[in-house]
Amino acid sequence: MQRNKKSDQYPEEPPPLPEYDISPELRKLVLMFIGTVILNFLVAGSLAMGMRTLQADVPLMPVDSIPRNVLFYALLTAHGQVMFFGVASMATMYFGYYATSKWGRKPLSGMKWAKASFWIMEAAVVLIFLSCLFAFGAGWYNLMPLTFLPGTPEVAWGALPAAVFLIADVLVGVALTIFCLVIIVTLLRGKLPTGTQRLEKFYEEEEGERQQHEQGFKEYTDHTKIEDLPAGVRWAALLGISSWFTKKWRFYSPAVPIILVAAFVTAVVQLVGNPGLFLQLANGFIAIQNPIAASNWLLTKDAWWFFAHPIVYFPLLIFLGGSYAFLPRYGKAPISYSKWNYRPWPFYFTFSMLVFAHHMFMDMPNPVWLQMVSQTASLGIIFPSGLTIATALIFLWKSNVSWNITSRFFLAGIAGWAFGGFIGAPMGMWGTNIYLHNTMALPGHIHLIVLLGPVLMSFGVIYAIFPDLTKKHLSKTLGEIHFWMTLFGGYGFAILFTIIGSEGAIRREANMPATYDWAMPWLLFFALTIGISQFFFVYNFVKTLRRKPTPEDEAEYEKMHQAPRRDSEAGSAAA
Amino acid sequence: MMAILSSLTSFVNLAADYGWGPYTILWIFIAVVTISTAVFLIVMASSRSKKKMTFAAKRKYHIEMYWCIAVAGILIWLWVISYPWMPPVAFSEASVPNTASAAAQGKIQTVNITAGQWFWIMDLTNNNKPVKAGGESPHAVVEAGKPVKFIAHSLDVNHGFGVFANATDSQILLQMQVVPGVDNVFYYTFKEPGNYMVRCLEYCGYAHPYMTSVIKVIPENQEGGKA
Repeated sequence: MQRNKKSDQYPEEPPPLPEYDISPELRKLVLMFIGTVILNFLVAGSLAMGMRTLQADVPLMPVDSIPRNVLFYALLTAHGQVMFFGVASMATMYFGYYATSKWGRKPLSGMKWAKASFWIMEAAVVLIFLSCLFAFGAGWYNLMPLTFLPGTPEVAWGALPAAVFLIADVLVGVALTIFCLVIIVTLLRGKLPTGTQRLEKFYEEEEGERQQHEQGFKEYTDHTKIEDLPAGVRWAALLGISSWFTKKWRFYSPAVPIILVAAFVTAVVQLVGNPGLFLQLANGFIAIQNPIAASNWLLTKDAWWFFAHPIVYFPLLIFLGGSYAFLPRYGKAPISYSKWNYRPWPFYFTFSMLVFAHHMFMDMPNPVWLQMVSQTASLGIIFPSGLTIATALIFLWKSNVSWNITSRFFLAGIAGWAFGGFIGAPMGMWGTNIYLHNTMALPGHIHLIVLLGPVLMSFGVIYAIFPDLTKKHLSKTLGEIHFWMTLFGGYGFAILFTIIGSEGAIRREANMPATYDWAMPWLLFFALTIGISQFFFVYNFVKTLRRKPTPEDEAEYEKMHQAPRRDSEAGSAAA
Repeated sequence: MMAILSSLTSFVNLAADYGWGPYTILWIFIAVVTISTAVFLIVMASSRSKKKMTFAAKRKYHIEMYWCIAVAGILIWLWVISYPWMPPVAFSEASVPNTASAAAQGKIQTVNITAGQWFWIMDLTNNNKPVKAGGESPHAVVEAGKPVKFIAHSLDVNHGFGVFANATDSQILLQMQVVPGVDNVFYYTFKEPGNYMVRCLEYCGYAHPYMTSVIKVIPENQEGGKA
């Protein structure tokens, strides 16, 4: 692909989005979300840098002392919560709102609620930072009753920071619930773009000649029709269930764009999971008066993971849906999709709600049936994941896709998620999890799954939708630096985490045993690489936001909003 | 076919074997990541191929269907072969043959563990006769080759009872969570005599890294508690 050096863009880059114009209000909200996500990412990343600096025993930092440990665990707690809620979840929210309106081709139901969810979530993030300043360090998953029993209160946190932290988590739950409801209501009300099943003569281009395929016909669908769907059909379409119908019934079932299926599944799964958070918090507020009271801490822990495992899939699913929207746009021709692209989604819907209990494999009092369900679901989630990866690779094979920043971020995100799954699989089985549970392999898994999965894809989305939001393009040169440095640093420390974890290095150790001293400077180096790369991104973002649109920007924007590109942003359940 | 299945089963059983399981998992992980990286790069390179392949042409081979069947088959196989390693099977009463008679004959060693911020107290009772008085020493002494029943309680927060493969930080041999308010029971049979490091594996406050102890395993039929 030829690069236009003058404008630092790819002028021939295909228009990335359907023709529907989101409202200026939503455009502004999405930009606010993106700016805030970047800010949160920088601050939470700095906290991680502090942690790695402490572990690497850099001379400037206090060595092996109680205040050092208190500081380490406060940083660890705020880093984890802000990365999950202030970065991954807020990225999901901005893209969820944007995609639902853009590909649903209608305004959001409850724009005011969408705005409220932004402010509530950011307030929660501020409170989490505040609790960090008061040395609150019960860990990001806040395993009660540690929240109220820090050990020696005079050097650790007191009741006030604990209460602030719990209030922050209440706000997180409220914001997530609002988001889920806005998405669900938007998709369940009114019309949706649907595919019209058609039969058409099937041709292949070979050596410049147009030849009829031996099978004669193919089925395909576009999403140019907008129609109201009966409730049953709508649910079957939005959960991807209709893709498992027989061929005859698939022929009569309209297919909605996959990205809408992803948004809907994400919202419903998280809405089901949110009560787990509220149950955990309710138990915490009751126990704040008397920590040793007869609270059921096993149930509290189970409730938390019922919420917290879906929160890992929360960013993942929506951005996987995004890959079905963006990757085909960078192909040189419209590309049909098949029922196989829809078929994973009912499994994501089911298993991402059941998979949570593998976090409690080592809790021996848990009932055996729960352990068996969770092992089944943990292995079961591999099935749709494997299918999604396979369909993505089949789609990309000899597809002539342009490897621009967005498509590369998406491919890197899919790869990171796959690699995270490879180490996640043994954690989902009892026999092997016994060696990996609570070791550094777990942060390795999480960083591969989240940082190198949806967070990378989120960057790709920002590069793609920025022109739609601002009528301006981000600089490609700075984008390249951002991409390669993030990839290098991210894979560096995630793989290193996994290796030392498999060797037995325990996670959440303020003082790593001497056996792993060799790894600490490397972890700091990789973390710094990621951190520095984000400054290139921020500079690019702010600089572009402040500059005026060039004529090329404007021409590109106009082109983007012209004729719809049939069949390229969504697929067919019938093919 | 049976030979292939058998060798694959042995391979995964190695991953779940005591002692060197984690390294096997690591090598499997590295191998799979290397192979898949190559696949991703090949797919990326193929997209630059001059001979473009239409999606419909790819559909002719029904790759997705075969892939689905293969993945589902592997998962079912993993589930079945991992069953013997599930803690309620491998590390519970069910893992000790003839539990009741074994207990009556004194073949099961019981270690009561008390976990607190930030200490371990391990009291060994053998056939209801205390060998080491509670609080006398945080260390426990058990015999190799005889099942050990660990019963753990927490005085305060969640802890993780983790035993390492030798006296220093190394591979994890076994672990269970110590959840407050409930009995946490785990069976294990040490194969080799030696000192085994105990560490807390669940974050429990700022002094969590220092919550350590030792289990001393002596040869079978040697009087426990005298070491």
